[in-house]
Amino acid sequence: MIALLDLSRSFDAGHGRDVITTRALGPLTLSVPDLQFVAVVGRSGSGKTTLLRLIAGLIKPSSGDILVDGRPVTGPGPDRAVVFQQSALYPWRTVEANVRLGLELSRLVSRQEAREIAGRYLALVGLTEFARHYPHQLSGGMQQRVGLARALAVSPAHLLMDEPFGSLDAILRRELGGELLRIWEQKRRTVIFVTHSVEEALMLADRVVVLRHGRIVRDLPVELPRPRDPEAVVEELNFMQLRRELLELL
Amino acid sequence: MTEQRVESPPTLIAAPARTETRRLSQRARLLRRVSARERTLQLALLVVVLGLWEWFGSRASNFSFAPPTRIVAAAGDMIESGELQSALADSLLALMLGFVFAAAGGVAVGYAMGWWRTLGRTLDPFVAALYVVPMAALIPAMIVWFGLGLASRVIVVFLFCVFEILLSAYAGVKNVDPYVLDVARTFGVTRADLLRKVVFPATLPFMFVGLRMGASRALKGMIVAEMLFAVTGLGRLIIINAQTFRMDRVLVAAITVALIGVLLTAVLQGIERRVMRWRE
Repeated sequence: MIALLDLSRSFDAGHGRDVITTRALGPLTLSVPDLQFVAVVGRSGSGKTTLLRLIAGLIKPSSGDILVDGRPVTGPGPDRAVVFQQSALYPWRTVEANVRLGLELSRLVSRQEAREIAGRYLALVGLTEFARHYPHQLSGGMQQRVGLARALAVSPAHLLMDEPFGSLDAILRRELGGELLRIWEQKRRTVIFVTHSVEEALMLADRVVVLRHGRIVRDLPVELPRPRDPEAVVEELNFMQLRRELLELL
Repeated sequence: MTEQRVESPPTLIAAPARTETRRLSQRARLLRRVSARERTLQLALLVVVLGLWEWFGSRASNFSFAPPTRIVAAAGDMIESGELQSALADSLLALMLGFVFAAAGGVAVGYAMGWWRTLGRTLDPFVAALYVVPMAALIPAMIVWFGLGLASRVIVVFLFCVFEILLSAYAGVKNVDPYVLDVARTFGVTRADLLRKVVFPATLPFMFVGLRMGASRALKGMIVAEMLFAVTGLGRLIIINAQTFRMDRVLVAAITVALIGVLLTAVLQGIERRVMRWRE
């Protein structure tokens, strides 16, 4: 479980003699039970990336607590893998070596095992034949799939996704969303998925949290049947109602 | 960090993307390189320039100019007598010693400055100041401190290029993409792995730029030292032959210096390509 208690985060900016403190997030309280797929939606500047980076342990809160599985977060760790907005692949590593990266750096398994696991996750995202390619030889969508495989390869209990498909075109976005859903159906885990797209949030998540100016303005369950077909789900009456409601909030 | 068990992934569900592998023959690869239109044009340009040079050179007085054919003949003489080889060896020794020390020291200090923020910020203004000092201005001081021998020349070469290399390595470490670092941190990377597997490969492009720019400055340092005070090596060949108006011999030495530069750069580029295969 991920629990955020009175969490807030501010950033300081120097302006001549003044220091201007901007509160980017909070204070907010939120609890995400295990295996739940939560989408965090908000416009840019609403604090959603800050929220994700706090849970990932990449930045520290200004006040409040973050508990992951009952323990306070003190820094990043492979129990919370992150899929970044830019795929952030290492250009000097082959696709296979990129997928292996997390296993290698976190020293979870032996080198031999890491290779085997990387191979299996490459197959999972359908890129086995590109194992020896370098990232710049792949399309944007393929790069994001490698980023996803890299995060999944460490078998994280929680998956944090920061607008992972934000830079892709609408069709590819829906396609990868569908792929993510299929993977998640088979290997359930907690997912916190940050996006500015209401449709994407509704298509994927069990629950949508709306952020505005760093605060939660709505926390809404998505009662759509699973497994979901990304093509069909958008046609449902419930989907359209929820979408209208969310768009008004943003 | 939580205790983790690595689970097996679900079965293949995504449609695999298709690739096709073709192996190029040795001949095809060679043809790709040689038959480029640019190569032909380069060759034509070279022929035209050499032709014009020959034409003008054979009309000018022997004291002021030399056509390519006379330069080649002079080179033959100088190789036969052995003076070109010994001058070249002499020059290369100072160049290589100075450059290798500068590369090792510059990269090491540059990395250290990038890795330990306090060290970097402390040294930054001093390094920046030294970088803009025209090193040639320090040569009289070098002579007083280190004499006229090899040590002095090596130090001049070193000083000419070390700051270029150092600042490139430093800039490389400072400019590693923050996302690249974030990714490593989310996996709980150790300090040693961060340096070895993340920062080092990420900074290689910067480092090689520094080394290549450093190499050309090292060459300048070498020739300046040889002409200004040590009077040895290729610099000596240029000076003594200029004094007797042997233009052909002056040009042989000058072209040799140019060739060293071209070769050194080519070698560095070769290493760069080898180390950074992923860029192609």
